[in-house]
Amino acid sequence: MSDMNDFDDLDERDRALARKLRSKLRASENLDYVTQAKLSAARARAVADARRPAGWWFATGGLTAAALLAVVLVLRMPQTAPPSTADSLELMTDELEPEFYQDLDLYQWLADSEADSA
Amino acid sequence: MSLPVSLDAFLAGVERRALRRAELATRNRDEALDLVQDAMLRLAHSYGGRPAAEWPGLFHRILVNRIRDWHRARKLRRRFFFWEKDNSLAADDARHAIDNVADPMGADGAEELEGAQLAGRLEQAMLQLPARQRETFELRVWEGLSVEDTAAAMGCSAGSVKTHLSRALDALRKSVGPI
Repeated sequence: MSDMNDFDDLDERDRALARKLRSKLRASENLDYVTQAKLSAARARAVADARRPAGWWFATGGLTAAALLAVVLVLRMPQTAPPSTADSLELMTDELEPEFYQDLDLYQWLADSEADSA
Repeated sequence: MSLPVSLDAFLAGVERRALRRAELATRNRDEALDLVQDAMLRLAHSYGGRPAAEWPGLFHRILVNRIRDWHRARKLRRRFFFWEKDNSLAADDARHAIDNVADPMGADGAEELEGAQLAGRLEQAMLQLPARQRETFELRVWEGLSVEDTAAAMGCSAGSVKTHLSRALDALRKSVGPI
């Protein structure tokens, strides 16, 4: 990798022009402090990345994927409204048999029919 | 170019010029910073373990490809969102307006202004070059890469590099004027 090559492949005229243009372009490379700080920060990130062990990306990627999968599964679980505390208490304390609650529709229909006939 | 002793030293040596090249290509400093940062990360992540002698060629190849990708994406975006205004040009013009003002604290304001105007003319002339000619000129003249390294970075033959450079210098000679 030759930096200050002499442009040996160019003729005299092009060589002189190339040298002048290079000089002008390199003189325009000064940056303001903010931009230089951003560049330095980017460089520091890149160097830190190179120092990480090879499996770091796989481990990080795997953990991220697992966390995302867990979030998706939780969000897609069927949402059933839990019975209210008052309902649960009533079920536990009343004197009716549990089978009664399995035929609630039937008893509701019977009650409606009686009300209609009355 | 002496070989860098560490990745940090190598990147510190190329980052400014890389940013200026990316900025010239995108005409937007923030976009240019993103491209250079991306190229740095890619080099460090994928090729940080390679011998230091290979870093310059790899870095320039990554940066050239990133800039090409940016142009493709921009072209595609402009095709689909044709009604959006291109803000990068306005930002660039504003930056040049500031850059072209001579520093009153400078040792020689007239000389500085002349230099800034010449740099502006040169940048405008470079923007008029076809993409491959500009890439060749930047890598071969600005970066100082050899013909072979330039060809490797651009993914073309040494003969193509010589042809592109000859045409680029010819065009710049006509459009920049006396230097």
